[in-house]
Amino acid sequence: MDRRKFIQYSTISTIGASLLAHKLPNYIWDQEKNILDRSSLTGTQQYVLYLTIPSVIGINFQHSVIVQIMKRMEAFFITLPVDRKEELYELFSLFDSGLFIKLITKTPIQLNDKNDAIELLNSWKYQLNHLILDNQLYVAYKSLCDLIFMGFYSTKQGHDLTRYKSFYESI
Amino acid sequence: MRVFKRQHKNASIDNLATSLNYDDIIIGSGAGGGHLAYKLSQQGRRVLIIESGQLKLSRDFNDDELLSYQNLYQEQLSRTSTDKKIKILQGKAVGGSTAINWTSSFRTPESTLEHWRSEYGIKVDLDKHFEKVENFYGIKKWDGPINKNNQLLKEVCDHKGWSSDIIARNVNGCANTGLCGLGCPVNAKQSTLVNSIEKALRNKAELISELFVEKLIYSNEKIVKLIAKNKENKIFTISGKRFFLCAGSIGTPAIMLRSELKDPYKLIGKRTFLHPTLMSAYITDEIIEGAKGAPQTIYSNHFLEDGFKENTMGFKLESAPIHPVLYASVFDSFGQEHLNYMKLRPYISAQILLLRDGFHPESQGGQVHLNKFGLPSLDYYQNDFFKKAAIRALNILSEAQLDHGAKSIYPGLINSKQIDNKKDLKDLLNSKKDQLKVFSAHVMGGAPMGVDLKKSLVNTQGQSHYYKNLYVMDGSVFPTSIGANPMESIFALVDYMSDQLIN
Repeated sequence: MDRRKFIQYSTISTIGASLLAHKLPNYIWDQEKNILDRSSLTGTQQYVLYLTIPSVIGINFQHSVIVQIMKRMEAFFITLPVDRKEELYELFSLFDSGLFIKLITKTPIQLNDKNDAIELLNSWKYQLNHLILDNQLYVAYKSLCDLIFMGFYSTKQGHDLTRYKSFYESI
Repeated sequence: MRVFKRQHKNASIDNLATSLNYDDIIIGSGAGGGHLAYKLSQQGRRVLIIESGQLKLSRDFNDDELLSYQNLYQEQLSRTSTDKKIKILQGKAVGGSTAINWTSSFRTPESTLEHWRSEYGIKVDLDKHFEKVENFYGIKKWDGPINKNNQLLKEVCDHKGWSSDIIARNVNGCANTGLCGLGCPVNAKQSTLVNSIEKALRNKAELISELFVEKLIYSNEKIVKLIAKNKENKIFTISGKRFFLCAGSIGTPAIMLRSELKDPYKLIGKRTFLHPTLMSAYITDEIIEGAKGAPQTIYSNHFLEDGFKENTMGFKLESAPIHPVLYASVFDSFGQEHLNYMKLRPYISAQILLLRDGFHPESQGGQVHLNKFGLPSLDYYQNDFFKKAAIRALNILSEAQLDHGAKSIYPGLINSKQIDNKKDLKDLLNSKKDQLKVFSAHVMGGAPMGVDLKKSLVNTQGQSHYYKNLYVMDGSVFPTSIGANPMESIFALVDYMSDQLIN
């Protein structure tokens, strides 16, 4: 199945979510806040990312570290080719959809803290994978994780965690 | 590197005329374009090299993986097959993939050349060209230290009685930084960036970087000019006497498709091959540090010819360096489980198998097409034949790792897991036949050479069957994959083709 189909389905779910929004209690768009001073992401997208980064890496980062990772991620993806960038923004736009979160968690969770983010990731990674669109949910999950890895493991802190010693530090 | 200051222009920064004219226009600066530029520049012709990526020199390289992938890789390392199931590593900078590959240099296997002779009528004698390019790029069997990552692969092979050997590398004064994949910081790697392009520029060739070739314009049976644009979408028109497509597999067919070149048998972009690659991580208690030292020094061709004997695909065994970002992308877990895998990084030997695609009726490779932005995308469908061959190869490698005494292994599958015995391996492979984690660093084909118009777009001199002054001289012309890291084969073939042209 073409991954575009996934995006199309996601778009349908986004529209569906908008229609249903008034019926669903307290979704993440209630939590909207801007974490980065300047960003191409919406407040909700930033917020989901902010909660997701520590959950993906498995470390309770300080606020400043998460912001640094987010800035690196954004600096990376804004220079992507136009087609890749569009896909990525489509991925982020899924975060704006409460229905998407409901779809992959099967429950209308509120994304209030790290535990909620872990639940989201768990569901995203394992549930409905075969059922929905030829593993495209996995692909979306993996794309997000890889982007976060890019933002973190290319830093000194990421190097230290994996005991990678930079050649440039040794000269 | 002063010559770059003199002979290089950046299409976005420097003030370039929007209408230019040269004798020979080479599109792409990797193994094909870089080598060709050197050859043509010796003829006193006015040669222009166009590269869509950036010019980065050794002083610009560092081991910030994010910056390296952003500056030196196609789609910033996010290039994949259309269905996202295969990650594709390809260079995008002056020097192309030669600037970021792991320096492994092989002659085209004789069985591949024989297959090309019998199936495609391709009769090229490359021996003296291999010798020439080996001298030119300093290619010789590696005589420096072999890191533990590679040493362990050799031990696995020895334990099973499989043949293995030391890899030849195109390096001169290698400092064992392990940073080949992020750009060599000491200019030891004899990439086209360091070697042939610099020499071409000394011979008065000119280089324009960050210029994206939109399409070729033709009239009757001749290409008359090309249309290109910079990052700000400013349009440039460049006329020439001869045009050489060297933008690599995927890149070259994409230009042909955008140009709507004559293609009566619908061959453009078809039969694009990848050497689809899977990893099996060997986990031990010993520190391996797979990111340090020469990244690839040991290989095994023990199973390479299997496809000619059995109904399957042959494969080659090599090692891969594991820098943190690249390593992290292997795993699907998050949170504590992810963290545990990341902490294992120094203890892992990343052993990879590269499947030899294109030699079997059920292995037809992929198809390049253009998306709505006019950018290329590769459909590479994993059929049952492919999956069976991949699982077979993964089973052979993973079992051998356990036999050798790996504490545990991590086979390259989606949502895979660490296992330590053969029964679990069998169960895992049985349950994950459709969940292969595949990547590729060797893209080949898509504009095949040959003598039969129904099977090829260019002749064995690289000249188009349909346009007299259009040539393809890069890995796109391979009618199959080759069963070895392709850089040296591209160097040698382009050396052969350009000799034919010059003579």
